[in-house]
Amino acid sequence: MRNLLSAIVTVLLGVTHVQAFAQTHQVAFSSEILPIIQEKFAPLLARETGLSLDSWDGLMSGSDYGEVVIPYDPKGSLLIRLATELSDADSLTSVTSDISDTDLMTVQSWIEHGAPNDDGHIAFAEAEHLLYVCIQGEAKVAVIDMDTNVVIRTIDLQALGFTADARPHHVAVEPDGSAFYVSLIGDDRVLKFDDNLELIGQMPFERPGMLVVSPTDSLLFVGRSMKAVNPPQRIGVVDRTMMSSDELDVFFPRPHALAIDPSGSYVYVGSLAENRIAIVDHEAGVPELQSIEGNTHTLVQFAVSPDGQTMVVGGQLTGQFFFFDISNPATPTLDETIQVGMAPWHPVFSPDGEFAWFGNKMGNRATVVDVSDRRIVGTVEGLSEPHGAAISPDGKTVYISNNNLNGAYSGQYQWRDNTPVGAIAVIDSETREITKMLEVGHNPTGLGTR
Amino acid sequence: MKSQKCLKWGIIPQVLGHGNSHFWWSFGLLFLIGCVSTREPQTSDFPIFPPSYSQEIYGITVIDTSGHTLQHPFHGGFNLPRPQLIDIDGDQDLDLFLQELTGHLKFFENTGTPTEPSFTWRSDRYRNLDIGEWYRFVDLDQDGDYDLIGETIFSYLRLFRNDGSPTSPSFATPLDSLPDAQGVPLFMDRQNIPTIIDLDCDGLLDLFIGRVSGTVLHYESIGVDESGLPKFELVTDRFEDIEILGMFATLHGANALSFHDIDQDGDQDMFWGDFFEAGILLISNTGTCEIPNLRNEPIAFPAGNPIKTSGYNSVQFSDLNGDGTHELFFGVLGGAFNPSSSSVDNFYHMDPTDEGLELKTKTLLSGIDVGADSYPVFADLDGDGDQDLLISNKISPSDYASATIYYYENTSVDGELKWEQTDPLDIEGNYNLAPTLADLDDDGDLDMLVGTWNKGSLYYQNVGTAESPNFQLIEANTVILTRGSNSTPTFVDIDDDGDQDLFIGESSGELNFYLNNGNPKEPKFDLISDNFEDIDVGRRSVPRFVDIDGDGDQDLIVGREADGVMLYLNNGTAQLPFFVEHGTIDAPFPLLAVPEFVDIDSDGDLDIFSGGHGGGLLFFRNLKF
Repeated sequence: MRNLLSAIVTVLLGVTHVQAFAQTHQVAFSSEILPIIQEKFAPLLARETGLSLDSWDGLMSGSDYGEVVIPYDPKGSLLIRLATELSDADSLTSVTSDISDTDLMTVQSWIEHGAPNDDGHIAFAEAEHLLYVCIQGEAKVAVIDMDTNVVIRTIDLQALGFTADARPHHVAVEPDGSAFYVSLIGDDRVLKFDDNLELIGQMPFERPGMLVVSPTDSLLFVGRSMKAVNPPQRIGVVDRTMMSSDELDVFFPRPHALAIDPSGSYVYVGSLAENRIAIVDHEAGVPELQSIEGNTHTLVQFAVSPDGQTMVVGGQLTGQFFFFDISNPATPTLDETIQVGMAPWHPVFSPDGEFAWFGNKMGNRATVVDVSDRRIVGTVEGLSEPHGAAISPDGKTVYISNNNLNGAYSGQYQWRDNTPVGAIAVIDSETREITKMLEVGHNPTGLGTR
Repeated sequence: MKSQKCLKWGIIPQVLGHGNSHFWWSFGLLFLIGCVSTREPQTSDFPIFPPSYSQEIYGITVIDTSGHTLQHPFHGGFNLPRPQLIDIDGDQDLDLFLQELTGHLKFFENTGTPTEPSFTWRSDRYRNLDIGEWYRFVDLDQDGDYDLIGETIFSYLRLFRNDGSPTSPSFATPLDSLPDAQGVPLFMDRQNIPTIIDLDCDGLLDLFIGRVSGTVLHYESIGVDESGLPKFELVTDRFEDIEILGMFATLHGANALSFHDIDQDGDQDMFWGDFFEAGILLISNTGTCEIPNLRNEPIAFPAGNPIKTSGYNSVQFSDLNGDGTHELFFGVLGGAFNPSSSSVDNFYHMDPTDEGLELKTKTLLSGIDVGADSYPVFADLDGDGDQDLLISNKISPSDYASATIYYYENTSVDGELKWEQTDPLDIEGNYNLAPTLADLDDDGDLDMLVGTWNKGSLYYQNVGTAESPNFQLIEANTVILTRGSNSTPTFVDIDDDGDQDLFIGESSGELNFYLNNGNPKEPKFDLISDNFEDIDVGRRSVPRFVDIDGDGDQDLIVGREADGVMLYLNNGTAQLPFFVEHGTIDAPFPLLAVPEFVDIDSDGDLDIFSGGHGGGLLFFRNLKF
């Protein structure tokens, strides 16, 4: 069991606090918490269809729209936010006056300590299939259980000493799921968390951007973000064990798109400013360049098919989508280009390699491409500045983060700070319909799966 | 004083190979372990060690291919200039500041007149003020002189308050993280260059910050604090509902904001340069000075004949020539449209005429500038007894597929130093060309080995003459590194046996040593070490050998990407060298320094010219003689 519990408690509260709480207070959910929620909070949860307040299990399973309680994160839990942060413009505001300060503090404290059931069990402590979400606008990383599609944990980077403008941007996960890495484009750092969500390493890195983990050795490769007038024209080569880095010159400006071939031999790097791809033999330290014809495409991010035969990338400015044959990984061959329009962003392959999914950032939609036929086979409307893309291990669910900086997605509630809420679109890959919009915070960006 | 130390170089544990046959450049083993006598640097009268260098921008007449004299030949080149013209010294003319690198501010004083400007370089690091990623001069405390604001890590605002006067600026210790009226540090993404003006003519300053989203934050001063600094309060995060989407309706960029009354209607219009915008966008102010209205569609400027560069243009309007009209100046920082193409043409000056804006120049400060990562080497290429200059680049601004080696012929006469640019060498097809010359076949002319970005070092045999070289590639003699890129070869007779040995720097910062086990007519280069003396200067090593301390042997100087050129004194002998690190050479070298030693003024000591990141040439004159 990967023990999320102890790590989160340590991260958010500190061991001393937890121990003191345990010694002095044992909350009985059924007798102390549930009655408050049923009597005082229930009216606030009227829009949360599908939510059962009959039991701890029902509460923690969330509603049709997602979680209501995030263990250890009272400020991020909908239950508390509804009681404290609603805008006067929201019709639910009148309900909040029925909740006393004592009630609120009791529930907050319970959540702060993991929202345990009567037996002290913490929800989702055994969750296996996790989706890590960078909340760039709030210096947080959200963790979603892909089996239930609720947010189950939050990592507050400010609580770990990083700045409010740390801006977590992208995630890469160890092949065995034992750790994951986060780039902070505001704080110029790359972080390493273990599977308990504990920060176990970090390193300074100038303008980090996209991340990719080598499947065959202990290296992590790091691209560059836009966060500088002139970022280095190199990628980082990080020893994941030591969290120390070397750098490799890739020749062109703004190295952004990043992928690695399944053999781990070649790293592919694309430029935001030139129509070039660097094919980097990182052992030899010698890159080769390949040009792409046409106007500046601005290559955002690559994805490599599960069989390692195909690599795709979208052109932000031209709306073109490129298919490379990488059966010989040393010499990718561009063998097809299709027009998908409206700024194709981070692509992801379905586990069977049949489809590639990506959001169209300027089109507020997602596109599904048949990889073998090289054609669009579907779109999903209703998104708002889609950014990252991920897919569940069984291939049944696609996740797309929505920056929603312009507020095209209005959200369930009107909050006092009036900041557009970002969301993770949960999409049924068969029907290609959005089944949930998980509201995770301001400006969610990169995604990674375990 | 002498001492005994063991020689370290010249040992490799195994033969290294690459699978292709190189009859000429082969690998071998050599054991040269031994103990040698070492000496302290000579302190007698010639040459004086350590040398003392003075950076000079002028002093040599340099003529370009059009016959024009370069005004600032050794300014070092610009890739992403961020200019601002202000009268910093109160002499009624506009001086020029320019940022090329993070943290550094160049200063060119206007030593002409208000109507006939003439810039004179004064500093590459104006008063050593660390301005971070951007800067603006503005009279923030409205006391009649210019204060300086810049960026402090990361993305906050740093203030250098001018406690001097309009004629004699004096900048106080920086105040970091300038707060807003609520005490919260003002934050602006470091790639977005803000601007401060009094937009609404109320006597209070307004701060505008462009966002990645294409919107504009507007802060307005609500008065001053006890120290006289404005208290900025956020008015709106969507100023005038502006939302710049760039020419392809996209986001995720970087921008530079400025204001100017372009239509002379008494109010300020907005200009926007953007990573995803090849030109300059104008948002007209159709209100008044007191009640501005910028709720208008951005248009490409100037209408009808819009500017087009590689993008991310940083704009300023100033009346430089004192004719009462404001000219347009902008630096091209390089956006999404192939920044290599603007690595030379990136400082525009346009003058308003009745027919519209007239382009005066794309290189307001003319100087030697070949693009980026300039790489100089001196040699007598025409057999006239003086040193000519070859200077190459990373990539040609006009040829996407190759770098270029440019040629400046030394045409000095009677001590009047003069270089004239002629046709570039006919060598292409690779990037980051790094030439070095020596007579490798003992036929009396100079042959050339040319390092490249990722194809090793290519041998070009001179099949012409010493006076009229004709370089032909001999592919079979290519030298491939054991690992890494950015080969930077140089020849030196390191063992004083009368033939040329070879050292090659590389991207890792280490050095490769090949001993010539042949002879002057038929060299045979054996790899002795691909990590010579365990020297590692960080990234991008560029080895050079000169007798810098005058003790009769070759010392090692290594350029690198980081600040400072490393010096390793040879404390051994001319036959058995022993290199000891001796710090850095005391001169303000650029990033990616490529030092080249030559006695350009024939005064008996070695001056230095250095290539670097900016693509130009820096000149450090040796002042000892």
